[in-house]
Amino acid sequence: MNILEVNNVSKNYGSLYALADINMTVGDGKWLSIMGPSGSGKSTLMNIIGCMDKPTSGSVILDGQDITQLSLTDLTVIRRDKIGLIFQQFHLVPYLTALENVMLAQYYHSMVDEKEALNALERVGLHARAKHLPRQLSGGEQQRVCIARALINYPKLILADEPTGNLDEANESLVMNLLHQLHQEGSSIIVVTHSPEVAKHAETTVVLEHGKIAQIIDNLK
Amino acid sequence: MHIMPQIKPITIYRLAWRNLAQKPFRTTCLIIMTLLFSASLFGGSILTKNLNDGIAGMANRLGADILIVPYGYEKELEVALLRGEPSTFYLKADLAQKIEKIKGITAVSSQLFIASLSAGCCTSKLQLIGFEQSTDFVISPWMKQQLTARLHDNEVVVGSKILADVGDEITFFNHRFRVAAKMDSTGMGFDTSVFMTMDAAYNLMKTADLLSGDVDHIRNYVSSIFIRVDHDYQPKAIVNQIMQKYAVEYNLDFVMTKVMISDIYKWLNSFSVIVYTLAAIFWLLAIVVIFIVYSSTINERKREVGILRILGASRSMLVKMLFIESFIISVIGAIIGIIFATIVLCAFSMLICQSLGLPCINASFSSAITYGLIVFILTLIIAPLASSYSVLSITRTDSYQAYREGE
Repeated sequence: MNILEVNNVSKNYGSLYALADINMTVGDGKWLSIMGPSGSGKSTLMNIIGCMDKPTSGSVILDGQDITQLSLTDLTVIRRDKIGLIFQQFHLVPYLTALENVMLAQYYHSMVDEKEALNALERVGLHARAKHLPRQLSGGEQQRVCIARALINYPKLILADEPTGNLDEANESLVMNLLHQLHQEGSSIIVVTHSPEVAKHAETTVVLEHGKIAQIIDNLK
Repeated sequence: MHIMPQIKPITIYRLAWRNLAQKPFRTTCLIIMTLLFSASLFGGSILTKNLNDGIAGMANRLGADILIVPYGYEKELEVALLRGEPSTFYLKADLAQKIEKIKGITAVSSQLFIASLSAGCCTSKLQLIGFEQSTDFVISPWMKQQLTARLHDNEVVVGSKILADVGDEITFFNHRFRVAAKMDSTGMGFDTSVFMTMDAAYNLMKTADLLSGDVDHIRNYVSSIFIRVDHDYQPKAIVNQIMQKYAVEYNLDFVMTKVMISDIYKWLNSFSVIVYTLAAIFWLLAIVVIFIVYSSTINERKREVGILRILGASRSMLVKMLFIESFIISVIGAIIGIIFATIVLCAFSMLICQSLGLPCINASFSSAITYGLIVFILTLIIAPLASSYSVLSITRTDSYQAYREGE
């Protein structure tokens, strides 16, 4: 069973191709890395998979549903219900505490449960920092809050865009360990990165170049 | 084990409030813009109403169409009537008997004005007024309900602002008087005046050595003669007749109350135009400033809104949240502005009226509530209206665009 199927997906801006005829699948509970240099189309692909953008052609089947046929409103619902997003820039709401940032994802999804949000923060080692605002947290701590926020609604797919891009080595290791934990618990993960070191953590790495798949690497071999 | 205090639940209202609290300087400036409008409109409207009611009350109940005073004392009489500033001037009393025969005059009554020394009841000098009970039509309408029996020479009626109650004793020039009645609020100088019989006023002047020279003939003088004119006659024509016959002999000046009140109304109209123009300027200014502030933060807000969109907020939720934010600014501005204006009016309304030289009657509670509600509603419109362009513009872009543009 595949959590994601990308079939012949292209994205062009006028005469400029960002993605050309991309095909790939992610099995349920698998970890995939999308790697490539700047401008290779990896962020465009992530935005399409993350229901933040639509392809020009092709289809994307997420958890059995073709998301390319959905309206923007429906995409918002899919993104809210099925995807946990982790960003390079963290994108925490600056005027809410770490705990409230996690609870905000609950609020838009279903019901706010403070105890559950605290458990999520505890899981990323930030229970004691729950009442701190993002500006009072280090980069690594902010990324861990971002992970707790991504986990809180039990998403089918965790989508991480350069999750360690703004972190030092120690925090990078901490974040990758967390992703490993999630993977061992059965979460499907897609990590977009330019770093081969980060990409190696996945079972499979898809290398993009100029909007096309240049290579598929099986990291388990 | 960590114990966390319970935090307030996340709601759209809380998100809006937290965002405002996050930027206290900007929020305070926006609130000040709205409160300038609500304070100026509420304060100005209530003050205008107070003045309007005061003047209307004076016009309705003054009763006299023409007031005669010694030549050159026209302004003193107006000031005594409007502000209650004490003054003393004299006119030969026999003029009253002569003019009451003129056709078209239905009533004539004289008054004697005495400027008091400071009395125990009051912090400043008072206007003591002797009036003829048998002919009076000026004072009586204000105290019909308070004075049931005829006023005795050792009794006085006090204005509404005199700190004495019925039955109290009050002393002027070492003469003790019993307070027989207290008048309704007139909004005029009558509120700070004390009324006594004409005989009591003459005796007071004589025994208190307020006069020099021909003291025995004080009863031959009054300060002012009040005239009521038949509806079929023009007060101006009556004034002309009196002038022709007696102006030279008695050295007279005239105040025609309709002209005086019409002049005051003209002034009041100009005053209300200024008040409402100022309020309109503040209203527009608030809208423009809030529009500019919101427009200048569109990009900053796009990023924040983009994050919320990515987390699953629908466009309607975000529109609601941003409008609630601007609504909170308006509500706080309206409430603080109205409270501020109320405090200023309570403290200084009468002082303002006195300095303007116009009668005032405090607006009733129900009027104040009505004005408050109108001002509140007008203020509520400001911030949501001014922010509507930005709110719709911020939330119109799709989540990816909003998120990327904000980066």
